[in-house]
Amino acid sequence: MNPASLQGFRHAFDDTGKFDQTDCGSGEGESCSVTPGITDLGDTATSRNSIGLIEMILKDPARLERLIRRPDLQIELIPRFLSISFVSFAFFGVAMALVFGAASVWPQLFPIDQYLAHPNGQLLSFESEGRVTSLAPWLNGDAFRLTFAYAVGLIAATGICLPSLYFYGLLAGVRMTVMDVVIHAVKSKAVGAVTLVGILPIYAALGLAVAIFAFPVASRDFVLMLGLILPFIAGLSGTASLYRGFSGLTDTMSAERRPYRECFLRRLVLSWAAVYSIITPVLIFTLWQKLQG
Amino acid sequence: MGFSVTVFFYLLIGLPVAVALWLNDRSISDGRLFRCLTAPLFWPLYIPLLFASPAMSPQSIMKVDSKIRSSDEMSSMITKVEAELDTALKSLDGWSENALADERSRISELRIAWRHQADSIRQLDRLLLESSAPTPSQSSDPALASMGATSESDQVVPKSVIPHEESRSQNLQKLKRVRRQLYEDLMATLAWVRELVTMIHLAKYTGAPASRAVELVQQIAAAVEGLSKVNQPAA
Repeated sequence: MNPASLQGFRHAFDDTGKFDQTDCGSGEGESCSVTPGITDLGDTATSRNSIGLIEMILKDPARLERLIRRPDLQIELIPRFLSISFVSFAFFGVAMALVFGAASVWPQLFPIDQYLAHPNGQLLSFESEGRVTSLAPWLNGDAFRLTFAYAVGLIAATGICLPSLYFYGLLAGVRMTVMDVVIHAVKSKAVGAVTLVGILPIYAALGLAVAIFAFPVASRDFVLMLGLILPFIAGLSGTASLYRGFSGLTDTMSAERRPYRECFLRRLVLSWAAVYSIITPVLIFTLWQKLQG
Repeated sequence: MGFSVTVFFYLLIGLPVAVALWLNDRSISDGRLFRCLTAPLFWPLYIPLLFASPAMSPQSIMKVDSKIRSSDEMSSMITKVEAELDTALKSLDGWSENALADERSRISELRIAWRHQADSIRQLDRLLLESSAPTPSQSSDPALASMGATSESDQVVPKSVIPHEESRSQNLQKLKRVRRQLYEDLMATLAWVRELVTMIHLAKYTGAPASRAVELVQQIAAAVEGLSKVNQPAA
């Protein structure tokens, strides 16, 4: 630290007339626009509750990345992220059940082993049962099975893939604990869940249009299938969050390793995301199909 | 192995994890209930919580001595300074993007260096707490020490031990001075960076040339050299 240079800077700013004053009315708004006031949530207990975390996910991801690296808070944050994810995915299940009920169709699932034995068959079909009301899925339990399969499947798949993420991190030379891996995984899950809740109203409008207007069957099935894969579309934001989080962990690498290990780590994280994207739909489908009977 | 058998074994592992979580967390809260209800389903995510070091649990943090509690203030200060630094560096976009290009790695090193220094201070705090003399009056009163008696137990300390105790006490005093110096250096560096951060904002909004941003970012990055000298042992 050079006190003389700091003193020089201080004097430089004593007389601001030395620099051209920017006229905010001249159209050069960018340089004098006030940075949108992101509320300084700080690391208080209030900011760490579930609502505070959702705000941080939406408004200040950089602060969230710093927060999850504090070892003393990880034990508190992991269940909160899980609760955000669980509630969001349950909300998604409920919304999808409402869309299917409004469209008077319900997906029928067929066992994977039968599909593999007879490739000409199908895994899933939308059967219109001609229900009088849209409450039938709730009365016969189909809606709860759908909600359970998605809420549990999406999160449990993270747990199944967790050891591989830890090993990938070790392979890349990142110095991290299992808790670090868990917190990054559940954080990215929560980010994807919040994104899913965000895009759900858009899809719900599309789904209701299917219910109200006489869409061709192929178009109707396409829209309904889009709804079933919506968590994976929203999950791209979770993948991006995981990628960012692990990229930040490269500061734990030694300086000489970092240049050639950083790229390797990022590729491993993307590989893990690909593996997760394969395992999750299989798990959800299997759970749902077994519950349906 | 069929699906139902898989689910059976999965839940068989999950239920003890749920019980362990219930017993491990003595707080009465909705969070505790949520953790225990979801543990059978998501136990792979909860097992690391069970094996986490007791020192990391929120309850154990509350029991930390005030000296170590002040070290958590270091974490808060570092987090705050990093947040301000991030904001300032983001504000370079559209004004002086190149200022950061050459200094990015040094600024990353700076973040590591002040965290490393904070860890060193915490380690010294723990060491000093563990090593602190049981009777402060003994170390401060040479007359009492020369009599070979303690003030608490009236046990007679052999005179051959006294010089070693005095030397030990002096070493502890030196450690305290080292700790104080490390702390002051860390706080000075953080304050230095905070001041430079405000200068970046001031430069931007007063229409300073982009070269000013380059100089300020270089000054921030140069702070890592001061911390690196502190962290390296003397040759």
